[in-house]
Amino acid sequence: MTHSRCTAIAGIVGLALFIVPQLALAWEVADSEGQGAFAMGLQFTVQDPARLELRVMFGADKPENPKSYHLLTVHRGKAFFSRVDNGAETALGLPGDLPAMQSGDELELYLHRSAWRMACIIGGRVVTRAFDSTPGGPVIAYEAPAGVQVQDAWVQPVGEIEADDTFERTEEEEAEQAKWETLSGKWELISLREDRQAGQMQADKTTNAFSYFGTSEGPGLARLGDWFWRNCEYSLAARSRGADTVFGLAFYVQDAENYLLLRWDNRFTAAPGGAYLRLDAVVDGRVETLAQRPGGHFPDQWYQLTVRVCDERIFCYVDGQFMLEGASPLFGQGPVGLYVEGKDGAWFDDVHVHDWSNLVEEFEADEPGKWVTSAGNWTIANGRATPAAQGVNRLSTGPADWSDYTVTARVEGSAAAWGLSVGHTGPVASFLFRWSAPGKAQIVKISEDGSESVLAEAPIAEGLPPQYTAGVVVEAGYIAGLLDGRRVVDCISPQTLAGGVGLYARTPENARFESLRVEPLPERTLARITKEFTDEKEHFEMVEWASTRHNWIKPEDNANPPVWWTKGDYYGPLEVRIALQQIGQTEGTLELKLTPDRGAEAPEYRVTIAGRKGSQLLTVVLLRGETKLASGEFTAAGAESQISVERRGSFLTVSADSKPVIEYRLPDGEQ
Amino acid sequence: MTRRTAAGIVIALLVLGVSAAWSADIVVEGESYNSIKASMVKTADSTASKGYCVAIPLRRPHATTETGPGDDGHAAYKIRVQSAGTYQLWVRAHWHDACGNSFFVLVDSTSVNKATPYVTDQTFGKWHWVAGPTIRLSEGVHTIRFQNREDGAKLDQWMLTTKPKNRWVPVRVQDETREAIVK
Repeated sequence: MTHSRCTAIAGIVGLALFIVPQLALAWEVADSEGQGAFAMGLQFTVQDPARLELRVMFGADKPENPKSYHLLTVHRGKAFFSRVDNGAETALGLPGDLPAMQSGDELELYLHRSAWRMACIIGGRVVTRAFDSTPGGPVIAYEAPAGVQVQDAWVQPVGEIEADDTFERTEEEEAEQAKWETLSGKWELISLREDRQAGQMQADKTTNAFSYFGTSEGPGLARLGDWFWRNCEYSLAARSRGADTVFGLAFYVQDAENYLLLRWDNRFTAAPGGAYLRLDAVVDGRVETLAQRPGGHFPDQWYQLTVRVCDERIFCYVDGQFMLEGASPLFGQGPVGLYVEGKDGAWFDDVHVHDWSNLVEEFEADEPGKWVTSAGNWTIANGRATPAAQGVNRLSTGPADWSDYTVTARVEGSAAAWGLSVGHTGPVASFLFRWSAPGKAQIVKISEDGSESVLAEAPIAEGLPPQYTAGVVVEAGYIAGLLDGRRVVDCISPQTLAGGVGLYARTPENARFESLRVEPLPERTLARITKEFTDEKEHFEMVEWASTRHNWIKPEDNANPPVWWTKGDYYGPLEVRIALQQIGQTEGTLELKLTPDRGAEAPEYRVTIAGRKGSQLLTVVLLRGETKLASGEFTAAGAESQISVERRGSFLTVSADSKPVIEYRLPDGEQ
Repeated sequence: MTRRTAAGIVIALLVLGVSAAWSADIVVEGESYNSIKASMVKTADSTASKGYCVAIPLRRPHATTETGPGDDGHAAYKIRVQSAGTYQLWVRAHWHDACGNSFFVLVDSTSVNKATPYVTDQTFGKWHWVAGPTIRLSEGVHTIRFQNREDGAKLDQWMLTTKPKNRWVPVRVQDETREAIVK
């Protein structure tokens, strides 16, 4: 992105404006290469609140006379988004109220735009949001025709947000390059443990002896990150010292007195009403509790605090367990913070921040542009999405790049058939989990012209309760439909399944959907077989932790064939990834066993991969005991291939370099 | 940070065309060095911009006996600064781990001392932009040198910008400003 600094060209432009003044527009171009996600800041002074008029145009294809663009309008006490196509303006989202203003007030406006979401922050509050996937051009411009004077505007491209700090540095390095900004309290880097076993510590055998330590008589805060961080997951590890210290995870940190905070009391702190885990909003130092639950932390014990924020909804976790949910329009963006309160202090470690989003839809009101009706008739109001037309009703939302998620919704009433759709690449094109009960459940691929092909089908013998939850799990290569949490149908799907979600109802009677949620799938837990398994000489110092003794049970010297069993037991969905090497350079067979009991005689699933010297062709066979169940071949492009053997839902699959080789449906009772 | 434009296409083209040439940003690919000394090496990397980066290769065993950089391996770059000013240095880096996550930064200098700045952060195993020191540069030619501080550190691009980091941070691969590189 090239930002012009215009001092050198001011003369040229000024001359040009003088020559063709009749062509001049009031728009100021803030960025002409603002393609993709961005955040924009705009500093302005209010001159006349009653006449205040400010507009930001974004997604325009060109700065002059653009045909289509998005617009943020701030006018007459409201802020709202719209889309303009060939001069016709269509509202997006719901207008929001501006904060109280007076002449002379200096305020900041922030605009956030991603592939689907847009939000406007004025005076430290999110005042309006909208949703629209329509792609736009690179031009961002603004105009302030009345009641306001703009001092400055800047545009920040937004990519993947990711920041980590494990505090693995020396005190000297910290002194030279402090990463954390101290806003209050005293903060220092600690490079050795301080606990009862610290004296026995062998520094060369610990993976991480570093942490950050804070003390403060009142609130103590240190922050890290960028002003444009929004819709993120934040996590950290914290441990208090002594009985009087409170710790917390702050986010959307503006300054020492303005931030949101997940704050956890010490179990032994004498606090009125006892100890609590609280979600607080701190404004000008005043605390408002948004959500709380009783219970305090034990001192001298590490905990992991996690906060996920999206669209001003906040979800709080301790050690991975969901604890609190709240909502606040405050701040809407900002760095992460470490929070401590207490003179004995607390340690902090393993800070991670990355972008995160979900969708919580309570159907309280129809937000123009958010949901698209492609068939039938829908009403969104009062907590319900209600299909009304006889025949098919379809409704969809979300961006084209959503992948690896679950969508759930409460369902009530009756219909000839219900559905939840996923992977929308258009209003109709999608994969539909459709069910009728009693009847059948299907996963159907729907093309943009509405034509259908059934990918999987299963009977539903019994009826459903008057109200229940339906869900779909979407993962690369896999779709499963669930009713009240139970998988009723699943299928192997395209590897690159991405797109929005939708609702479906055919011939509804008093039917409705409520409380729809789209959540990203949790990251897979990795049981890593370390590189040291084959490269022990390179890491002799780690031999006690990372040798063959760690992950594998070494076979007896005379075992034939020598079978290496993992020490771990793995339940539920499972993927084993193997980097197969020396393809074409040697001859041999790799065999992978999946068995309910290590070394048992019971017939196990076996995957064999066989290759020959001088050939890139590998043969894959799936067996149960000695019975061949399926086979396939693949040609490796080079000397190494990534093999994946996966058990998920009803299927056992083998793929090579992300291309399917075997897809086998497991018999009932083994799924 | 803004510029006034005219509505006419001619004016817009004029502004955009001239602005690129006069931009204060300087962006340099890691492999566009004027000189390189081992243990710094040019390395093919499909995940790096234009497929190459410069790196201090991992020493084996890594991070067990090291007490400092094993050598003064470096890559040096000559650039022409159009206007004197204070520049923010950014480095698009890939760190192996906490013992392989920094480079010394030398500006018109070849010797490292206690005051020599370096770039570092704690995000490992992926390319990302790391803020370096702010540097006061006069108009003219300068030599920027990235030097071995730890093994396992890679450099894909670096840039100098007059934009303060509280207003703008790079998040994507940048286009190299070849006109700023002195060969």
